[in-house]
Amino acid sequence: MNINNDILNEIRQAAGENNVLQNLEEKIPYKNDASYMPGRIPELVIIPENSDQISRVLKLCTKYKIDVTVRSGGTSLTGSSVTNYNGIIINTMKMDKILELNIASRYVVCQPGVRLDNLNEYLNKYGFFYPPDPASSKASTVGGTISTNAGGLRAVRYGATKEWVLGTEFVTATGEIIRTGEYTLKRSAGYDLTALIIGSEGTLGVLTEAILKIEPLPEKYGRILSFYNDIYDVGSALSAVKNAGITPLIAEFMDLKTINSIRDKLNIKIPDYTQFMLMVDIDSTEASLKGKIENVEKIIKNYTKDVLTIMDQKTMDEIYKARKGAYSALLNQREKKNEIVIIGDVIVPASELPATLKEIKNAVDKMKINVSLFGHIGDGNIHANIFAENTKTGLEKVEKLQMEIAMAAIRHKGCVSAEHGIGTEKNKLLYEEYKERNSLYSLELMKRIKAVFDPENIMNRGKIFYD
Amino acid sequence: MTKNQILKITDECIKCGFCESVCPTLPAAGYNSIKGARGRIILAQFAINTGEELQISDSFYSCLDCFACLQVCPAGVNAGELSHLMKEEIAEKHINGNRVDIADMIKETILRFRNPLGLNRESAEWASSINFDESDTILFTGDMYQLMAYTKFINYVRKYFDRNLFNAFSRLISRHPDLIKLSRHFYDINMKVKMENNLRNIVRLLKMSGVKFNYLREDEDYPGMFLYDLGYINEFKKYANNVYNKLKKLNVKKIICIDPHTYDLMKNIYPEYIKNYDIEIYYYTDLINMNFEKTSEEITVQQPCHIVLHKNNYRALDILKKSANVKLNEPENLTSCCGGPDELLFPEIASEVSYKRYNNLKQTAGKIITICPLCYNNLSYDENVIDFSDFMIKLIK
Repeated sequence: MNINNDILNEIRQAAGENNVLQNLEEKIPYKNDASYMPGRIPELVIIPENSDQISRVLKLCTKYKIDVTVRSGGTSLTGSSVTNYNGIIINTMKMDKILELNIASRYVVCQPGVRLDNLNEYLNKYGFFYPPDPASSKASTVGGTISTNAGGLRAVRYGATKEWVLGTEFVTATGEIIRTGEYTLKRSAGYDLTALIIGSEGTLGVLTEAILKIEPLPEKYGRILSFYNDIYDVGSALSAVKNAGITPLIAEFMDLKTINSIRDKLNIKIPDYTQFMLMVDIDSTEASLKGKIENVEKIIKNYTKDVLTIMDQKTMDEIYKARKGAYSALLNQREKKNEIVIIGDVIVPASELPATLKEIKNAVDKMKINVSLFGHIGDGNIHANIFAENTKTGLEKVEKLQMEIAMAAIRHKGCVSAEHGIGTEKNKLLYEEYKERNSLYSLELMKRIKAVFDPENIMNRGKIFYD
Repeated sequence: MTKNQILKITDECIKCGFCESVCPTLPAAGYNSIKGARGRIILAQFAINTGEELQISDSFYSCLDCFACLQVCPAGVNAGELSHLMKEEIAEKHINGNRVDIADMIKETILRFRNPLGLNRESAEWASSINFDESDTILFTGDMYQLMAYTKFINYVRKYFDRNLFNAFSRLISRHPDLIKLSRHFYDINMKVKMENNLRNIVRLLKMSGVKFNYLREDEDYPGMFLYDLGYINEFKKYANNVYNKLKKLNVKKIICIDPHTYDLMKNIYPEYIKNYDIEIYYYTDLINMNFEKTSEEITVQQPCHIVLHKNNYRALDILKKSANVKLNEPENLTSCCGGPDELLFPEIASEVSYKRYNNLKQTAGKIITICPLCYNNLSYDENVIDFSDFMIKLIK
């Protein structure tokens, strides 16, 4: 529905006069997020300060059937945080406070606009951290990462965001302010609404507060880099480490193109034959780390002769930062100026990784598309980064390849999205996944649940579900 | 040409939003994205590609030119440079529908008086009792220390003015530039005393280090920073060449700058616009060569963006480290803006940025040392904020 002057006045009153952007110039930046999915310029942008304002605005939006898209850091890679319809964007960035830290009970309470790196900078002062660590952690927020169930480099040890959210304050599309979960590590109390909100990508309402679990910082850790010319050996080396009962803090791999994009920042000697690099972090107590590292080195040396161990914190920080910036840095590897780099994101059980990678490589070779591979190999998460011309033909080829990759993941008991969410980029892939599993009714159930939270279907319409 | 440069930058951006996480103006502007680095890129791309008449000047003129965005962009996109190019497009009227009255006023007064406020005589008063050497090396103040007392007062008054009224006032001065000279009566007395003392401290530190140098007094021209920063590139080019030719006529071979903005301009920007530029540029802290007392005091340092983030080297931090217990808020090669560059056009943003920065620094150490008059002016919320020269002068053996 178009927002006429009367409705506009009501919204302004509900949101607070200074929290509404209505000039075209001010709304233009909200047509993009970090994805390549095209968004529209919203009719209004609301930047509320509290849940009451959000509640009042959502009540009006439900009443007048105004489409709503929720956004915070705007780092979505699947188009979750741009709008596809005439409607409003609610930007939660003004709600950027850390409200409470309780070390004894191991939780921190945050508003949705807190950026993950800022949260960890705060927690590190007390010797603690919040484990979910997507590569976008500098910009991504508590709200955004909960809404997409983000993962990241440390997921191999700590799992994705869903493992770390104890409870939320949440405003439903109808404007009801509810609390889900609470401050306790255990809770046996009916349906887990917190779990329902995690990964819902703003389709049910707006997250306004989160109770997050925290962990003590690892006492000490070291980084082992190893180099390969065959992807199969990368998978085998890591499997051997895990079979020895060792779960790394992180386990990342990258191909030569990715290595080249960050080579200057890695600042290490890379053997000439290298086609792939494996990066494994091992933690332990100060006293036993050396022995544990030597043990892992020995295992890895069965698969490659070149193993480099780094213990210096500054160097480790630089390499970690470079790895987190790999996706953006791949831009420098573009062959043509009008190319874009589209980051893929599928996951399979770790044991299925070598076979899946082989199938992905075959699909890439067959379609003659320029692709680079990196990912969180420890948890089976593959990012196939596709270099494509930003034209209709180019994007059609991308869509076709994305489907091939998704089908490979599905065949190997995996999922079409590991940590980026569905958005509009993957709603067709999600449909295919459930179709392949002969479980389309799961999607139907999701739609019915959405209708309970959002009876007028105003929240982030077009996301998750493929119509 | 400029439009192509702009599109080259915007097309390289993947809108990842990393820049927004460090852009000081975004939170200061209530997370209104057009006043953040990524929003500026998206807006510029839209404006150039569509040619639509849009009111976009606030977006680009609010950029602090601190280059914090560049430090975190994995693709190396410089949103600060983009803002500069967009200001150029706006100032040259290549993008319709935008007026920046205050900027126009500043341009007119600089071109008319070779000083933004027409205060050439007042700018040299601090040195009236100092004898300088006959030398082809000169101390070049860039008027920065001197202007702080006046800008502080202007901003104090501005809080009580409606923006439209201030714009109307600016248009009036643009038509009658002589009116700007009335500003000689309006300054913050404490800031004036402090800044003039700091200028004398700098001279003393240099003299004690054995540096021989002259000072042009009233003949020193404002270097034209505002013309460059506000996008008046054609005017800046002509103006900078005039400044340079005058210096050459006076047989100046070396220049000692005392603020990071003038230093960056004369060292890195002037050579782009002046053929065969051959004056050597130094930063005064690099010439200090003397022994200081050591103090056990904990200090933190507001490193200047125009030196640290624009990748210029300087020695001030080394000197401080030898004399005191320095605790930095961030790694040595990073810093965070004081908000100063927004002081005239967006005082509310400048104030938000500076207060946040002041609080961050204050949590780090009891004393905050500044190495730039703009940083000092913006961060001096209490007496524990001290100019480098003032701090070091008290440690002379």
